[in-house]
Amino acid sequence: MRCSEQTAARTAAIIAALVECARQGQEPDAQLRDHMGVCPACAERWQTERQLAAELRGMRLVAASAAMATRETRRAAVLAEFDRKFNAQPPSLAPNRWIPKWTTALAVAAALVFAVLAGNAVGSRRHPQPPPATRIRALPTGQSILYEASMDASEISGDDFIAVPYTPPLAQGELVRVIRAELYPEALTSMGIDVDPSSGSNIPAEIVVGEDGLPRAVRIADESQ
Amino acid sequence: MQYVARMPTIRSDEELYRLMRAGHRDAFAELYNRHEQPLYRYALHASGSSAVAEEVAHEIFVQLMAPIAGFNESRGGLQGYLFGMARNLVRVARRLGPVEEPVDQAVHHDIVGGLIQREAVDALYAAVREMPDCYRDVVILCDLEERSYEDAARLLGRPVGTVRSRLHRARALLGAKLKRLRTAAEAYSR
Repeated sequence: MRCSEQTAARTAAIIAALVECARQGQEPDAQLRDHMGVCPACAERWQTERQLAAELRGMRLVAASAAMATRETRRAAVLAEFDRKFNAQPPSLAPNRWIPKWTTALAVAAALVFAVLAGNAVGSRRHPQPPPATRIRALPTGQSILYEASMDASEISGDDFIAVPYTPPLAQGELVRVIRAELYPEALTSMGIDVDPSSGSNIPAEIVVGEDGLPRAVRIADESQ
Repeated sequence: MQYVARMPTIRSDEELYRLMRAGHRDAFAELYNRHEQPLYRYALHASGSSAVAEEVAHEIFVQLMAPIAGFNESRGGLQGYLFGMARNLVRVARRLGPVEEPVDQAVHHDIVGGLIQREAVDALYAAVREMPDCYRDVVILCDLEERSYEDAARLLGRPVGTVRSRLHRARALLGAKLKRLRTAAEAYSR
């Protein structure tokens, strides 16, 4: 029976079957072959479909060939673009560890605290400062005398002066100044002089100060002088 | 293969996309390996120009790594998104008009020159190019890319039945068009 003599649904089903046969590269079954024997329209459609399938195969080959031909060049170009945009991150996918953002922030904060503390420690070693209590408080009637440091700085302390610990040594020829001042008892204790820290009054003392302003030696002043 | 040894599990496109956005080069390379060839071929079939296909395939991946991401997982898969981009870029290229083909294009065709008739393929390209978008896409996906109806329906966002009926209609149009072209060519050769 010809398609023109059948229902539209039946005709559509026949055409669909022919198309699928051509797409799959299969031959129509006996029922379809019988139908094509009596229906020239379907026979012609079958020929068209077969030819179309062959030409589409040719088109696929051309496209695959063209796509492969410059593939590596295109790939290199786009990966270079990726490297440029993402600053060449190391290509690693294997360990997919999830690291929470707060741990990074915590690590940065800890590093900053450590850097500040370490910086302070190094700075204080390089430039030892006297404790605040050892600051020389000049008397209104303060006197000072300039000396030149001798080869042996012990000469200073030799005359009842006690060297202040942890201070840099005096350079040869460096000018030192001896200052009379009143110091807190705690300041004298910190400089190595044994006084009673509980005694509230300030104690007159003579301090040897280097050109850098740091005390090098100290002695209790003789009140009689 | 070294890559397989390092990445034994197969990651989804979306997972690779997220890794890529985080700067993982391997993830980007994997996405490229998976999708570039089909996208290139789609653009080549739809435009008939290898220069356009090259440009489209490159542009898709450049846009994929753009600072403002256009892909939204909640709206669909990455493959459909890439295919949509290819479709839009081809449309733009078609509007802009023909482009100059690279000089080595003839060499690519010569590789399979013994298997096919160049004229037939050119005629087919012309016929596919002139089809309405809705028919052209199903021919490219189902017949030229040999995707299943379900896969094509997912990429096009259409029901499977629609894709199937469109393909049958498209093939009828294509067959008729080629028949006319062949008849004209035969008349010209005489």
